[in-house]
Amino acid sequence: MIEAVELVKSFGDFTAVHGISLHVSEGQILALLGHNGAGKTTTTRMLAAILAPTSGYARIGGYNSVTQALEVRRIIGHLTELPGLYNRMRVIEYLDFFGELHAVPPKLRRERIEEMLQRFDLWETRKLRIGEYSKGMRQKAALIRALIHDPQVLFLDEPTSAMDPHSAKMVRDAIFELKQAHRSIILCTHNLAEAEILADKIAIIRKGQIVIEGTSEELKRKLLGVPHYQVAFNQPLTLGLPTGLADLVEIVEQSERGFIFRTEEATRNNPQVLALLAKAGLKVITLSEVSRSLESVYLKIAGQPQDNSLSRDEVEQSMKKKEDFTKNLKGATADQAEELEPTHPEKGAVK
Amino acid sequence: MLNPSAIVWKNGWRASLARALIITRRELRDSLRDWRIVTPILTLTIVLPSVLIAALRMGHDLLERLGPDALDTKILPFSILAIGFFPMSFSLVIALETFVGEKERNSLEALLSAPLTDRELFTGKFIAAAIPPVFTSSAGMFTFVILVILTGGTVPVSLPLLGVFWLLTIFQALVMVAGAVIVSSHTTSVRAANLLASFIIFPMSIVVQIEALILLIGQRVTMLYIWLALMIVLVILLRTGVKIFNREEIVAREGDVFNIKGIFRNFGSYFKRTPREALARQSSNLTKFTIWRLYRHDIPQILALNKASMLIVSLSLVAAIILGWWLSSWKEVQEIIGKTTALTAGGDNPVCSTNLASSVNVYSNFSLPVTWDGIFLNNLRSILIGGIGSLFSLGIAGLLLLMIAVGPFGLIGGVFAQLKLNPLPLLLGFTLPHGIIELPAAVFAMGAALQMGSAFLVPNPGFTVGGSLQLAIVNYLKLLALVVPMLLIAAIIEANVTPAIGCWLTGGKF
Repeated sequence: MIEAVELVKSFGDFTAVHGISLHVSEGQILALLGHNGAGKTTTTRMLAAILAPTSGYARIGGYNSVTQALEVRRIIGHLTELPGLYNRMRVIEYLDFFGELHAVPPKLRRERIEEMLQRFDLWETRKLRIGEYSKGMRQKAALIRALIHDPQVLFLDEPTSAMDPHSAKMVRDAIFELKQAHRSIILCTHNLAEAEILADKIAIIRKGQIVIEGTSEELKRKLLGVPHYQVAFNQPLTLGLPTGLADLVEIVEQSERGFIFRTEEATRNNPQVLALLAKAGLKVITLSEVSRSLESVYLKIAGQPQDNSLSRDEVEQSMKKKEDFTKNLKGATADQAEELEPTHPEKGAVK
Repeated sequence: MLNPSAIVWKNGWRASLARALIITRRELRDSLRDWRIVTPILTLTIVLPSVLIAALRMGHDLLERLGPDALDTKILPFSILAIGFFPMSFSLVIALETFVGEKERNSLEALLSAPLTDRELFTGKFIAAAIPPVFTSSAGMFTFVILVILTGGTVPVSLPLLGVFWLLTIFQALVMVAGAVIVSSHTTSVRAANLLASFIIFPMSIVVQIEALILLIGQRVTMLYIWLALMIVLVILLRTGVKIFNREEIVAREGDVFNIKGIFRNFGSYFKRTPREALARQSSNLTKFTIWRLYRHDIPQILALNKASMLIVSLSLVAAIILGWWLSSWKEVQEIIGKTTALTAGGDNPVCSTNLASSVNVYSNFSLPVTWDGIFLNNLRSILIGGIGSLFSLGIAGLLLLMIAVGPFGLIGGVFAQLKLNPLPLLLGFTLPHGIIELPAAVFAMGAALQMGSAFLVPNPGFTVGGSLQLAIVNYLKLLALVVPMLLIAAIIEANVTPAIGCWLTGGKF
């Protein structure tokens, strides 16, 4: 539905976007993360047929964003970074204006405006001028504007910024429903939790390049390495960990009441870990994955001061190192597994 | 960490004033960094007083010549036009806000994402901006006429002519709005657009003054021609406006900071590059600047790039000659000519014993000795004044100057025709030998001057108004490397060869 190939955008001597390629299918949400000025807005403007790429191309719903710009604009909804509404208009007039521009028939327009205003809690305030709205209300009005013609493709730039938690949830639910209704969505946000909840894929942009892209889990794995698991005992550890455990998984940290380990093959190794601990008479209260946030991933790539953060090459090198490490670990665990298997598979259910 | 005791909060009027001056400094700095503020302020400060004094003198002389009825018969009709002009200049603010105002209020991007073509967007905005000035001007004129009648006065204009006045006013409004909408789509702030409005109001006020002059002379039907000219200008502006409208540039442009270093850097970089390299913003594989390159590449490229503006200049020259010829049939002009004794059928040509050059020299007020160097300096000065004037009048001043210089040839031709004499030997003999070089030089220079003036309305794609203007100035200066030698050669011919050929062709008699 959204396809961009090697998009480049230069303004004079300054290149804002360096060869961005992305693909968003029907019913998929791609979150674009990055610093202010990283190139997110320029990218969405190119996709929304406002800016023409210096090189590369984009197809939205099969239409070329330059040669078929009008067709592209017909099928997209674009929520801009700053809502920028007409303050002297009433919200109904405003939405009606954009509905008319999108050729929504008058009757349908009226129905849709009422439905959307009700849905986003703006119906009661419909007679106020937009200038009298709060920031959050304006943001919702702008979102309705982007949705008024029920577009196939949506570009949402910070859709929940300036909203209270209740309104933000309302908007998130709406976005999720749009996804269920097979809409393709690109979400530019600084709200990492929101990106993690909503997005099928996440792309982190830095200095006009996508430095990494994948699902939230893939990104964590690629950048933070294999998952870590934490084991807690019901009593202090007196005799130390059972022998053979260190050969099965990599022990990262150990304390009196438990330890943290990492393994690439959790499904296979964790039951064996539990079996080994049980065999050694250690009573396990919990074995859980140590939570790793998207924020850690983001900060690793883009969160550093600009000059210290990782470039695309550095990210690739870092990912390669992780992969090598994982391969080594995998190799080791596989060898060990052959030796240790089979133990107590019935105890293998680890979450 | 900052030591809290380092901050001393002072009271009293001095401290209060000092704090106020902090605001003043910031505001001033902000204003003076904007070249669009600085340039008109300086220009208007110098130009306006001299224009006003000249206008007052002209007005005084005219009133003396026109007699006691002038107020009713001449001034009142002009007042109808003036009444129509003032409201439109105020309503222009709406047109100036169309795009850049929305950009400042961040509402433009949503509109640009809507399924509209550039033409639709531009046209929609133009119509919206045109309605208030058209309505207010019409209403103002209508109210004025009604009030004149109600207060016992008579309107010394027939109903059809009143209709022409109304059409003129409407088209003036439409031309100004079209210009303002173009300015609005190529500026980065409302303030910049408002300042650039003076470059729209100024040329239009020249048109109004020409209308006033025509009214005073009494050639009211000529208003129809002005209306036709305005209609052509409107069509050109609208077509240009739509053609150069670029939603990308509206979104992408930021800031109008007056950066002297940046300006010099730009000038330098445009100078070093060939015009095509500068236009393409090429930054690598640049051709090295040499005098050879200037003549071999830069100047031919500039001439090629200025083709359209040189065509406009050439057409204006033809129009000036036709206008001059036509003016010769005016009663008022014939009266003036009748008073002069220089053009007498069969008379001796005094020039053959002296020098003709100054007899068709329109710059008589600034006349220099009629020697080759005097002619050269005079022509060079005209070219430079035309260039500078064009900068502040969308190119109109340069065009007018050239038209005024060439128009008398048409006038002389017309007068000769009326006297049943063949004007060709005189015109060809006394103009062609040097004109063959001087005229192309003037067309080249005024074409480049027109480019400078039009940079405000039609910036090059991907360039800001400032960038376009700087490139146009550099191209104008480079072109002088061709124009100045041409003027020099023409002046030498004009002083030494032309009189001999002219006298030989005319036999020393008209």
